[in-house]
Amino acid sequence: MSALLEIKNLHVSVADTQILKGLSLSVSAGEVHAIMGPNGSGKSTLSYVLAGRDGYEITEGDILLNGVSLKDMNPEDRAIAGLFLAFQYPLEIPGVTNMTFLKTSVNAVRRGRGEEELDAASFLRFVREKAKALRLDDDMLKRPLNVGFSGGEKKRNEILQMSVLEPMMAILDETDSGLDIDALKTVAEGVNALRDAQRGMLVITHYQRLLDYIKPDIVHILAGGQIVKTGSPELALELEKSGYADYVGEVVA
Amino acid sequence: MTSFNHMQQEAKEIFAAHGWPNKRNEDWHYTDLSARLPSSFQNQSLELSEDVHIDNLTCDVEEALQLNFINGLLTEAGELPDGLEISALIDNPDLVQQSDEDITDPLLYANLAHLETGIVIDVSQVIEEPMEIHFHNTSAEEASFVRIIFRLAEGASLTLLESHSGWGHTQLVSDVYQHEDSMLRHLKLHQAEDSQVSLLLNRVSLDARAQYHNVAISLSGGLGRLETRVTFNAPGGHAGLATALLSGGKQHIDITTRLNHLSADTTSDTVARTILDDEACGIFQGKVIVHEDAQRVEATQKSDALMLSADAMMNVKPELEIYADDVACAHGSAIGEIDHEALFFLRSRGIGEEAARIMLVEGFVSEILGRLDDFAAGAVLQENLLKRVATFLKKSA
Repeated sequence: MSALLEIKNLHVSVADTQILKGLSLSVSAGEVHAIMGPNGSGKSTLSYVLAGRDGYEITEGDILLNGVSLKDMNPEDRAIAGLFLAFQYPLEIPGVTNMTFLKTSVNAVRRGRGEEELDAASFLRFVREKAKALRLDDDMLKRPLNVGFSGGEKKRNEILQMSVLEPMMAILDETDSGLDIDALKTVAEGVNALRDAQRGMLVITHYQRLLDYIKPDIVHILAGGQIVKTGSPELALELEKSGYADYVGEVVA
Repeated sequence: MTSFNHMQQEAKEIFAAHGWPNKRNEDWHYTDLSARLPSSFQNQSLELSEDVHIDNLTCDVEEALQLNFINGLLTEAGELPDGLEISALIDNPDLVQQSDEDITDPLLYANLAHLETGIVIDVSQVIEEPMEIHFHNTSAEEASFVRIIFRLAEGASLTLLESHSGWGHTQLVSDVYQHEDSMLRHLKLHQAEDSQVSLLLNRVSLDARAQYHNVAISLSGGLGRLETRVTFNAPGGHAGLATALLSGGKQHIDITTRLNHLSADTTSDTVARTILDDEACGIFQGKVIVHEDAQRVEATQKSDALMLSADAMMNVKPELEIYADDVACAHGSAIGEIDHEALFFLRSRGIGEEAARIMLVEGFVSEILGRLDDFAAGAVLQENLLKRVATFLKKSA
């Protein structure tokens, strides 16, 4: 079976500094992969380059989603193609209500996928049901997007976006950062509810903690812009004990 | 009558001697009228034009009262509800004298010197229906000089919708006298053609517990000055001034506010949101003065500008002059571009670049439109204005 997401020998530079130096990785449908790595290893660069942010230049290699290259696709077309990035720091957008944003987003994606747009009433039903599952109340849908939301609310709101956009491949960038243990559990529950045989996930994290709640199938260690080790979930536990020091050395050498 | 003619004669002499202010006048530093305006106005219409199409803001509001000024002349007003009366200013020369103590003010003498129509609107009770006063010039040769004096009796209230369209030159002085516990909600929509000059001076005088809520939206027009001066005479008075300025092309729009807190225990809140595209020039001059005896005044002033083009220019002059020692005043000003991170965030959710930009800009001005919530017909006005904002943004995208 061919991979859902295939990253091939990816080299990426930001403002002329090489950050990713030949990263390769493939995620098949139904799998959850975790990427762990120390600060400065290129974790955030990887998530941004996958989502198509300006300023991240691919100098070599490619990213394929279902066999189609994302390299020359703008961020909105990647979303339509089925890629979703849950942000480490979700943006606050004053003056735009969460509901307006979600409706615009869902309908833009549906239009792009050749599906019929949802009218106001059916959208409301659809989003309320999804929000309820994540314990987000109606009030949060009426408030401006992420403005005044707590850290946990912002992350749950990211998962809500993921659940309404129904992506094929989800990237979770440090979803655990800024969460207390209860918020982490709620977010993880939301993510786990979205695991299915068709969907792939890439969970990027600094700490092992998140992986207690979102159990990966495969764990990769990213250091110095490359995957330096790939293994079973136990690899994450090892790291928790011994730290990243062993791996940081390998690449520099 | 003589007295009015006498005052007008005096104004004409001052205009002939001083003309329009230039940039050496500090209040006009960023908007040099002498360089931009003719020194005389010839072709003022004396007859009412027929069959002029006016895009009233309240065309969808059945109960709205509409007064239309075409080329400076008032067309027939419909039936007025109880509590609302209109009379001619020429019969009340004292009112002009009282309000124009400082006749050396260019906006005042220029207005009085050329005055075509002056009316007094008395509001003696709570008026439920919104009242729209629309000003329209039919050609570039037309000039309108109008003075309106509003008097709100104790406890009276009104929603006033002032809108401007068309070509030529419009100069309006509107004076508002609010007695105790009165409330005026005032929407000003400036949406004229690129060649129009609009000089709109709005002076408000607040007695005890009087509230004045102003929302000003400028969407186009060649050269504009929207100036609001509020004087707080007694405790409990409150003024909220919220402006959204969206400008493109080579427009030059100047927002000037002056909050004069003469009395203790008064509050004001000024917020301006400016969006500039192309080679537009925007100005925000905001001044809050708290006099020596005006203790416990709370005043905030905030200006934010969003620049959509590298060729646009924004001038900001926020000022606080505080002579009392127990006050809470703050001012702030920011100028920036579209937030690229926010843009990326929206695009990563499937929203196309243009739609994402429009969404961010609409979000930027939505706080101003949100202040119409309590206005009579507020929801209809918001919808109408949002459409106009969207049209502006699509044009500039």
